[in-house]
Amino acid sequence: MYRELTMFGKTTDELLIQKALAGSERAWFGLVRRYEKRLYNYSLRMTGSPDDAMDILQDVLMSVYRNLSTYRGDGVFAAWLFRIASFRCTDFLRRRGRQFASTDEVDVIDESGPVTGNDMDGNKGLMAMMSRLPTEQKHVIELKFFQHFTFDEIAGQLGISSNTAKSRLYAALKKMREQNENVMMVKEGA
Amino acid sequence: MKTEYSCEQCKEQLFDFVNSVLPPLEQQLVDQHLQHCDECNADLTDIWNLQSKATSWRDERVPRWNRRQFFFEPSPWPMRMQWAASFASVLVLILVLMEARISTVGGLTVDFAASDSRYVSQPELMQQLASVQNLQRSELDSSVQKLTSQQITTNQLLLRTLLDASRQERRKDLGNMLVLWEQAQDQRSVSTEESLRYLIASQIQDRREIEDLNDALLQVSNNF
Repeated sequence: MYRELTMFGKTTDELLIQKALAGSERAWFGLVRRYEKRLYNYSLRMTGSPDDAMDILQDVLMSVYRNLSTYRGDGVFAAWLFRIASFRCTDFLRRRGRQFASTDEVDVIDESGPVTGNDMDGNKGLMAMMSRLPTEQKHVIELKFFQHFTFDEIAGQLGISSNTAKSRLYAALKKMREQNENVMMVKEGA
Repeated sequence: MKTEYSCEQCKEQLFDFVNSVLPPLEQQLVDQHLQHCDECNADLTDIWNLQSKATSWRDERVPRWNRRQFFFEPSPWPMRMQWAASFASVLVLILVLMEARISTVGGLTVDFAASDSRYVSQPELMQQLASVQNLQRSELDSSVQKLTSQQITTNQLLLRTLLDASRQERRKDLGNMLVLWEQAQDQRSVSTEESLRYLIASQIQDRREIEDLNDALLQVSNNF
C-alpha cells in the first residue's frame, strides 16, 4: 500500500507520517530520529546552550506530535518542522531576553581565557559569533547557510518579504565581519 | 548588449555566483561588477567565510533521552498525585461528616463533635431560651436609653450652636445699621450746614442791595 512512498529504499516522511497517524510508535520514532539531530544542532546554534537546545528540541517534537494530524502534506515536512522550530526559538529567545549577546554566550569564549583567533574557529566560535546577532538575523543566517533554503523559502518561513530577508542577511554578514575584525585586532595586540 | 550590474543587482546574484549556478552572461556581469566594487567584494568574502564555517560545522550528538517515556508513557508522578488528591478528598469528606475540629494550640489535636455533644431536654431548652430573651431585652433597653440620652445631648448642643450663630448675626446686622445711620446723619448735617451758609450769604447780599437802593433813593430825593 505504501510502496510508492519509498524512495531508493528509504521510507519517505509522508509514509512515516501516515503510519504514525495510524498509531505506529515505530514510524513516529523513525521521524524523530530522522530530524532530531538537525533540529538539535539548529537550536544549539540559535541558543548557544546545549540544555536550552535540548529543551527546544523536545518542545518542538512534542508540538509536532500533537499537531501531526493538522499537517496537510501540501508542502515539505522539513519546512513545516523548521517553521515550528523557528517559532519556538524566537519565543524562547524573547522570553530569555537574548535578542543580543548574553553573558552566558560570551562565556563560550571567555571561559578559555582571552579571545584569540583560534577561539573563533569550530562550533564554539560560530556559536559565539551568532550569539551576538539579533534573533531575526540569526534566523536568516541559519536558514540560508545551514538549511540551504532559498530567499523565497526564508521569506515564507519568517513571514517577511524576500528583500527584507536579503537585507537582514547582509546586515548580519556585516556585523560578523566587524566581529572578526575586532578579534583580529585583539590577536595582533596580544 | 546588457549594461553593467548595480550593487543591488550584484547582491541579488551573489549567492548563485558563489555556488557557480548562474548562466554565463550573468556570471560575467557579476564578475565585471566585482572588479571595481569594494563593498560587493567584501560581501562576497563574508559569504565565502561563513560558508566555509558552516561547512566545517560538526553536528553535535543529541544527548541521550528516553523518547518512549517522553511521548507515550505518562510520568509516574502525576499518577501518584492523582491518588494523593483522591485520598485528600476522601479524608476531607470524612472530617466534614464527623464535624471534626482541628486545633494546633498545645500541639495538633483533632476533636470530633460527637465527643462533646450532649442531650438537652425541652424544659431546659425553654429555660435557656427565656434567659437568652431576657438578656437580649435588657441589652436592648440599655441601648435605647443610651441612645436617647445621647440624642438629648446632641439636640441641646445643636440648639446652643444655633442660638449663638443667630445672636452673632443680629449683632453684625445692628452694627451695619448703626454705621449706615451715622453716615446718613453726617450727610444730613453737611447739607444743613451748606443750606445755612447759602441762606446767610443770600441775606447779606439782600441787605447790601437794600442799603445800596436806599442810598440811591436818598441821593435822588436830595437832588430834587
